Amino acid sequence: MLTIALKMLVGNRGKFFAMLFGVALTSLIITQQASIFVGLMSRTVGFIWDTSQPDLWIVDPKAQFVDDLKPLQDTKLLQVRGVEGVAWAVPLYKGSLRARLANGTFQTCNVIGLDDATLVGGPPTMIEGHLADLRRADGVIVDEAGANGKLAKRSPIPGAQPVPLKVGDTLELNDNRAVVVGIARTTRTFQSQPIVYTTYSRAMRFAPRERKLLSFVLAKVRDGVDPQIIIKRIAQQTGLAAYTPQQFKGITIRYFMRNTGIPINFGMAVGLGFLVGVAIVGQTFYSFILDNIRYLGILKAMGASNGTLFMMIGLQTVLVGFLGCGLGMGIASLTSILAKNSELAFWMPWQIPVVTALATALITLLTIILSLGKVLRLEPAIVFRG
Amino acid sequence: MSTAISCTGITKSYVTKTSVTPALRGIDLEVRVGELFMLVGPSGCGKTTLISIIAGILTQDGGACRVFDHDMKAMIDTERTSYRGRNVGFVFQSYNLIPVLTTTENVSIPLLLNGMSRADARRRAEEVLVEVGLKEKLKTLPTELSGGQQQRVAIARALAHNPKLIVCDEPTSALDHTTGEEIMELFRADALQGQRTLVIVTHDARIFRFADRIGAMDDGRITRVANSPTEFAI
Repeated sequence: MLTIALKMLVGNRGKFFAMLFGVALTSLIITQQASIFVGLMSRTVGFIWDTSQPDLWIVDPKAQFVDDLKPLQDTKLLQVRGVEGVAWAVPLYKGSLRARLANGTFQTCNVIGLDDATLVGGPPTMIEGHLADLRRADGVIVDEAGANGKLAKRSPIPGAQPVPLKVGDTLELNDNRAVVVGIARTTRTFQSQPIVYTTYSRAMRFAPRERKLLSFVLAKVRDGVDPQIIIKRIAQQTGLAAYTPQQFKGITIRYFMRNTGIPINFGMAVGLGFLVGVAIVGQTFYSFILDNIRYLGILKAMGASNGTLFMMIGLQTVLVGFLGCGLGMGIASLTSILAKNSELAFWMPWQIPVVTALATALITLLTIILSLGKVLRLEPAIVFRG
Repeated sequence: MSTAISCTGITKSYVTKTSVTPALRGIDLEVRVGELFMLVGPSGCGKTTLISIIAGILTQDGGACRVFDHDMKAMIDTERTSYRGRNVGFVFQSYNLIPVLTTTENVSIPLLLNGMSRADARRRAEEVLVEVGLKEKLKTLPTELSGGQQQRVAIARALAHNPKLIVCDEPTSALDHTTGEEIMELFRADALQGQRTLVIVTHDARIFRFADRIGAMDDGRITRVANSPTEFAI
């Protein structure tokens, strides 16, 4: 009877594709919106992600997230180095500076100043040049997206595409000459501004004069020492807050969750996607059941038990749910592949397909429950009505 | 001849929030094994209600109905469903074939419901379709068949699982005279084989001659039972 159920399902092509479309659309909306949300949230911590060497990020205790820069006195670096259990500690500058482009326009860039000696905190992947090239006079490394996009030069041919910034080109950073010595690939950040890496001392030169310019102290914990103990020691001895990269990502994401409308907006989109799914699939499937009620009545008259009819309806619904969910998630996965190197913040960790599959299962279950009453109340005597 | 159906004092009313409509007002009826019994009468006289009770798809309010020695009312719903699946075949006025299934698939439904394997059900369905003269239409959809051919498929479906009883509701009223006659000849030739009992509800006076006995109904009662079409005509 299950084969008969499948034939009855696909035989009504209009309804079948409407239901399939409904489930696919729902799972696509849920997957896509959730992935963009996760993608956006991950961009808020892109900088922490890329700075993988240190065990601890040390900041002003009032700093609420990675971009909430509350500069420290340079002496704090020495204090951190003096904490027992700290293997090494280096300064890191992070600030927004204006770059003057060849066409005379200005572009705000995120300038990262790395410890001159160790260059700890550098970009994760170099596409052109080497990290050590930063030691060359006026050297800066520019991120790929910035070099190809906002920092790209105007083409000499009118109307042609801008020419990407390349090694050897120069920039003007806050009236200081900077020479591009490398192009790096970095995780995109929330602000989507070009990222310019340079040495800490050069960043001090580029940055406007301020009493305090040290943004972070990055520290490594000695082997075998619990980072949590060092965090407490740093707090006691320097008055600073220290976080593991995981903790720092956590407080940054929580800040954005609490203080921006992003979660509620995406949550609403996901919720609406779910409701649209329930409405489309439930209504279409209910109408499919109504269309087939006479045939279900005939089957019941011919000896089909309620259990058999449930199994048939269950199979039809589960199949639609399975195919629709697969189709929706397939399209979402395709988007994920296409969006890999684009501006679109799209990241689909394994949890999202699982949640989508559960949501689809819930829609399927609701649809089956909706049809349940109809089948239970179905009078086989319907077959003799004209 | 032994008794296939025995009804005594059957009553049935349809109750809505605002009204109670009596459909059967005390039916006494006996149908013998192996006979073709016709129930005739005007619309709304209770013919369909009566065959629904006989077929076990409705239960009466009062009286007793025994079909092949089974008290239909005493059975619980699942027993009645299973009983119908094994022992009753249905033929309807509007054929009620599932349009997206081929003729063979339609005919195999009662067999599958009785637990037969797909391959065996297909084989048996094809056999019965050949018997009713549809050898060339085994893989055809019902929508591609004429009315007479569709009714033949419906008869094949009713016969496939070898039920003891076949109930038919106006099997010829949607067909022209010649096709109606062909269908009734098919009933007489195939459906009555093996001590099978047929109860046919009809308005169609052209087919009365195929009946063994005819029961006339009016206003929820059997007014008369004729022992032959000739007796009924008088």
